[in-house]
Amino acid sequence: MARRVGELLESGFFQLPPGVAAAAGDPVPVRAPSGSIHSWMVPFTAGAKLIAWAQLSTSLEPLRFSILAGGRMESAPDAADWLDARQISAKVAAAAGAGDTLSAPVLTYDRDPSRLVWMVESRAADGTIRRWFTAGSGVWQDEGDQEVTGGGPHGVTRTN
Amino acid sequence: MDPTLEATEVHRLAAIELNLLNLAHTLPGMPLDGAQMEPGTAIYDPGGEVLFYRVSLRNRGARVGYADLAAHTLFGAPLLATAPDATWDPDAWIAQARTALRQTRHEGKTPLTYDEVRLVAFSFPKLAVQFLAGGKEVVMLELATWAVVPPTDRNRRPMEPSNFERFSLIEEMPNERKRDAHGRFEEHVSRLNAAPLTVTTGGMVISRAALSPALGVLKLYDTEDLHYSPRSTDHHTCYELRGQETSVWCVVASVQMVLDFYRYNYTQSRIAQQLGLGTLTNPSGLPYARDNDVAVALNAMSSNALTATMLTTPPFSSYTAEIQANRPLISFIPGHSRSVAGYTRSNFVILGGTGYEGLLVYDPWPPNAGVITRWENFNTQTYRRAFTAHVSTI
Repeated sequence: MARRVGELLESGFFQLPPGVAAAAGDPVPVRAPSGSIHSWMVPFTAGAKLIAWAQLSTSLEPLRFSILAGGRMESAPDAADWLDARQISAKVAAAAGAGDTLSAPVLTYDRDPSRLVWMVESRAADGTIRRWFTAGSGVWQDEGDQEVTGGGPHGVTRTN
Repeated sequence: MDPTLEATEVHRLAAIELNLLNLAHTLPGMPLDGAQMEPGTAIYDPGGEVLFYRVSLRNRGARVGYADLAAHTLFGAPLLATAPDATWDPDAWIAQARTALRQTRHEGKTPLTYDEVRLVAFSFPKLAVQFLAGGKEVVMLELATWAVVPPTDRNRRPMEPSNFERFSLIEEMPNERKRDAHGRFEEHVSRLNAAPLTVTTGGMVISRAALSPALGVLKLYDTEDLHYSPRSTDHHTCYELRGQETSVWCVVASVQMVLDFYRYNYTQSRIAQQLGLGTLTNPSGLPYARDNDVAVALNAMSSNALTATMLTTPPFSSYTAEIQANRPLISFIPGHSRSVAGYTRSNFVILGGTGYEGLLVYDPWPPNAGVITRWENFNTQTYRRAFTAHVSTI
C-alpha cells in the first residue's frame, strides 16, 4: 500500500498542495455497510492538520485523491478529529448522552464511498441501539437509506 | 463511419496505436520496438462478416506475440488485445484442422469436400476452423479440441451462450450497445487521427524512429479545468471549493459553487431557502423526486441569465464537453452531490478496456471543509444526474 501510494505521488498522479510538507499515515480500512473492506484511506497530515487523503480499492486501484478545504491550511480539519479513535468516541459520547455504551469507531461511508465518516453504535441502558456518524467535528445520527441527496430531512445535528 | 472497417484501415489504426503504446512503454514484457506486424488473419463472425484480425508480431526474427484488431465498431475500440507470450501461426492451425477432419471422416463416412477454410470466432473469443463448400458451411471444428461446433441454439437468451455454443456477436449484441460502442470507437479514432503523428514506414514496423518528429510534443493525455474565461493561457484556474454547512446540504453547497463561478454570490442558507431544504438548525436533503429543483434554482437565482439542464446517467463525454466550454457542472451520485471542474483522460485504449478517465471533483464533503478530488476514477463511480448551466448570450 505504502509503495503504491509512493508511486502515485512520484508520478504526479497524486498532488499535494504546493509548499505543504505532508506525511502519509497508516492506511485505514474503509468498511462497506456489510462490514467487508470496501477500500483503504491513506491520510496525509501536516502538523496537527489533515491535509489530504487518498482512497484506493482493495486491488490498489486509485479511487480518488482528495485535498481537504482546497489546500487551505487554516481551514483544514484537525487530524485528531479524523484519526484519533479516542477523540472520535468522545464526540459521539457527548452526542449520545451519558450512560450509553459505545462500540469502537469504524471508518465507513454515508450513502456513497466518497462521503467518509466514522460510525459508532451506542447502546442505551434499555437496550436501544443507535448508529452515529462523525466527520470532522460534526456528529449526527444515521437516518438510514432514503432516496434523498444529502441525507434525511428531519432531526439532523448541525455540524460546526 | 461504417460499422465494418476495411482491412487497410484496421491495420493503419493498429500501427498508430501500437506505436503509441511502444512510445509510452505501456506494454511491459512485450518488446515492441523494432517489431514488425505481419499481415493479419481475418477472423470471421459465424454470420460471415470479418469480426477482427489477428496480427503476429516479429522482432529480430522471433515471434513476440500477437495483437487482435477490431474489424467492427461494436468492440468500442480498435485494439482488442495483445498477447506477448503467445505465438500465432494460422497455417499450422488449419493444417491440424484438416488432419482432424480427415481422421473424423475415416470413421465410416465418406470424405467431406470443401473449397474454402476460415477461422471463426464461434463464441467470441473462442476460435474454430470452418470448412465451406460453395460459400456454405460443411463443418466447423473448435480450435485445438477439434470438436464439432453445434449450430446456434435459437431458444436461449441472446449474448448468453453456454460453455460450448455457437453465437454471433454481431447478430446478438443489442442495437443500443452497438450504438454506444460505435460512438466510443468513432471518438477514439478521431483522437488517434487528431494526434500529430504520422507513421513513416508504411505502418508495418513499430519503432520510435518510425514516428514523425512531431511526436515529441504529442500529448499522451488530455486534461482540462476551468478558467475565468475560455482563453486559459492568460487566466488562472478559477473555481472555489465550498464545504457544506450542514451534514445534509451537499446540494446547496454544489449549487453555491456553480453560482459563485458566475458571480452570483448567495449564502447557503439563502440557497437552501430557494430549494426548500430548511435552515441551518433544521436542514434537510433533496428527495430524488425533486432532483430537477436544482435546474429551476440555478435559473431563478441568476434571474434566468443561466439556462440549466438536468442530464440523466451522464456519460464521460457530457463532462468533457462542458469543461471544454469552460462551464462547471453539478454531479449527483447516489445520495450525494458535488460539482465538477475538470477532467483528465488517457488517449489510449489498452487491452480492449477504456483508458483512464478521471474527474476533478469539488466535493462539499466533509461538512465545513470539503475536498478537491483530483482525480475521481470515472469507471468506478455511479453517476445519477448532472446539471449543466450556460449563460444566455445575445
